Amino acid sequence: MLMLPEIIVVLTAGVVLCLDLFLTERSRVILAPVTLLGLALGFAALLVTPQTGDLLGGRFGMDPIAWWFKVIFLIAGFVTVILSMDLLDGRAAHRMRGIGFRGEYYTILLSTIVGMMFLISARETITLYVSLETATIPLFVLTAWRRDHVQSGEAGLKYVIIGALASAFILYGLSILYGLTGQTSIVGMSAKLADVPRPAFWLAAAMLMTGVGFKLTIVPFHMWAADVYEGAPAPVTAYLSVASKAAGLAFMFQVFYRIFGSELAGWTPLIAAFAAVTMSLGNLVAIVQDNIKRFMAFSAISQAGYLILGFLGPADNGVPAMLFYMLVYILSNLAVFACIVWYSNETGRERIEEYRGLSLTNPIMALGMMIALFSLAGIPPLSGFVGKFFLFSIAAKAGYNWLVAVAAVNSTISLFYYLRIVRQMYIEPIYEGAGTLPVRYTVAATVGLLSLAVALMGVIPYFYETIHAQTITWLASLIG
Amino acid sequence: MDYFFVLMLAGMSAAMVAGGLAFSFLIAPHRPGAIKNSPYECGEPPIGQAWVQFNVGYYLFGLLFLVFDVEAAFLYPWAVAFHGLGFMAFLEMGIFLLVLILGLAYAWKKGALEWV
Amino acid sequence: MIASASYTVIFYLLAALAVLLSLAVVNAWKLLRAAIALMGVLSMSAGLYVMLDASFLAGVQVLVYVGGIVVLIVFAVMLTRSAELLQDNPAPLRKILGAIASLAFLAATVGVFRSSPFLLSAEKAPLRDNTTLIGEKLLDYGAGGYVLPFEIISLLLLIAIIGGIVVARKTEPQGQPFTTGGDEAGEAEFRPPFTQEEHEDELELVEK
Repeated sequence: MLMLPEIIVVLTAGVVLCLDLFLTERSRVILAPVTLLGLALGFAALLVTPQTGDLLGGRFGMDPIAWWFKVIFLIAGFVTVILSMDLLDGRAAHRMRGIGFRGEYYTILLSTIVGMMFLISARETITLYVSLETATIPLFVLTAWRRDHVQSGEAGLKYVIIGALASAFILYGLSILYGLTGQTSIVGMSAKLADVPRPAFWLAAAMLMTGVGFKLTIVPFHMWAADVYEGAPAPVTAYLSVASKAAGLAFMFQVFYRIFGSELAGWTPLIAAFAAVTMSLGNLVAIVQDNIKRFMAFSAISQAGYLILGFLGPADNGVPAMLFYMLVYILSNLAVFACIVWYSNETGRERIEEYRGLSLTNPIMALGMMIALFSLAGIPPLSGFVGKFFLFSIAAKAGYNWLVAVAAVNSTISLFYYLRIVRQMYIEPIYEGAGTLPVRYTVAATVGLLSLAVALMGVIPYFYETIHAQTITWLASLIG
Repeated sequence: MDYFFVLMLAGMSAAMVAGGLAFSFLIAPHRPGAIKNSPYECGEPPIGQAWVQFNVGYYLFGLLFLVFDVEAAFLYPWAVAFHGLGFMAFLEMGIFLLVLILGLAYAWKKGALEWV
Repeated sequence: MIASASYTVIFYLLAALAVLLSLAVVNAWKLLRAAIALMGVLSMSAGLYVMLDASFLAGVQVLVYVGGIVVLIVFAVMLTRSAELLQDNPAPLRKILGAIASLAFLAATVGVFRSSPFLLSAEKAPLRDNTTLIGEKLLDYGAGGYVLPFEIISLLLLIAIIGGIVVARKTEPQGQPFTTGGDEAGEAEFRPPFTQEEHEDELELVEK
């Protein structure tokens, strides 16, 4: 019963693949609704699943934090399917070259979602590693999905090489830990860590940190992000920017809180340095970007910098703040990407200055994008502001006032470059003869709901308070 | 010590090959010429480079082979331990195989097994 | 005495060969030679596994890595236009920095491994018939079992099949309708400026 959401998503992947084998190309249009139905069923199953418990003799565990992560993964997957289907079904006015293979696309997308869901529920390192691979290897394929497009292939290749490097680091770190403790289960490993000789422990921790750094695009492990985001098809970029980050954070939670536990306390200067460098570099480079997908890549890098501020404080503050910010971040980013994908589908335009006049042709979409961008910049009262506020206050409480100053300056810089897009949409003159672009109801509903959620989640304290209350029980279960 | 004979076999075969090469190098006359150094192609004069670009089909077959190779590697310990395992293990292996058979069916149906 | 001495000698022989062949992999100018050297490296590690009494692992190493992955690498090499690597000479500074980084990494790992006591499996139990043990552990759905990763691996292999076929196939399957670049009749009136530039960029890349 606990594994029901995962089982439903896996079965959906199988059903989609089988349907793809027996359908004609014309009737493959139904694959996207089937995928959406499967994800919705998975979500429904997640809602009725008990939030605590374990299966398979403790090898698969469920807790409130895992529950929230699964919510994040399922939402990201659901929205990505909606964003992908116009492009894959050929409803886009501007058809992209070399995009096809719908059944395979959805099967692969579903299996990354399953991989991520197993990742956060894994209770021993073999499952942890295998599900991390299941979450990332399909992403390489999705990145290279535009078959006869040079940039897409290049992006896929870069992603494979960097991903393999990151996996190698993670695997090396985990195997050193195994060699030192003789345990594969996370609980057993964590219990024996105190006896582990320090140099070896630091080496393993450094390896794991490096590997996670690649996944979360923390500077200096970020250099692959821009090229991969730019080369991948736009819906895949949307998925990469949210889901692979959430998976990176989930892995970090598993490693930092479950395996390392109390060892984390001494690391805060290192994490603070990473956070400062990541947010500053991401922001400064984002200013000069021209292509909107590259721009969003650097924006995502700087957001990762804000995100890891949560590791500076004690877990009962840091965990809910990071989870809440992740939730806000994926909703905002998906709203922005929904507009990017839609605009690229309708016009093929992907440069920032090509967004000019969008507020006149499609005011609702422009408004939705503006709200999401302001949320990413952290303007009150949008939820991005609330999320950043919690994270900054953790850094301040931990005594990192210089870091809070850096983060505040970075927030201001980020407002400047997010406003660049808003300026194009609202102030710059419209393209000559440009009319209202058609918006499909699925995309309109997605953008509307996401921007509504982004606007309201900060004002309604329910989400943060629920996450916070559940974190307390989670921490109790970790210790007990 | 079970592997001592494997080692001996490897050592002896390496020694035989090396010995043969060394022996022929030592006693053969060395009078190279342009024609003698050219590759022997059943009496035909060789044309162009030895390098040919392979058909991508080889790669696909190689990939499928590798996947089922890994599957075989997982089947082996199951087969060895089969008698000690219960019905659940049989079921688990059934699920594992079912997923991979789905992959085979996919490859078959999509014509990846046909030579183009 | 002789047995343990010969064991040590064989171990160092295998290890030294593995290191030398690894150097050959990264230094070879011809890709095929690098692939063959890689085959040697993987065989040497299979030998090391045998010396650790991990006979099943050694078998898998030979079966999957030497017999499968290297063959796949060779096919991938043969797919390229030429087996000669481009003679790109990285700047001396990069070479020096790379060497320093590698040596520092080597020093750090060796230093750590020498100073830390690792739990050796020999201290626990003689793992003689470990293939049976692996089979039991792999399919055990209880507390000490690994059935979950085992089943996830089947999903991963399925994705490998699908992804490999999608990415590597040369021919377009019949009836994939959305592979046109918008150049069908009726789509011509709307061609935004960006695609043309992008197309030109692509052409430039191809020409290079």
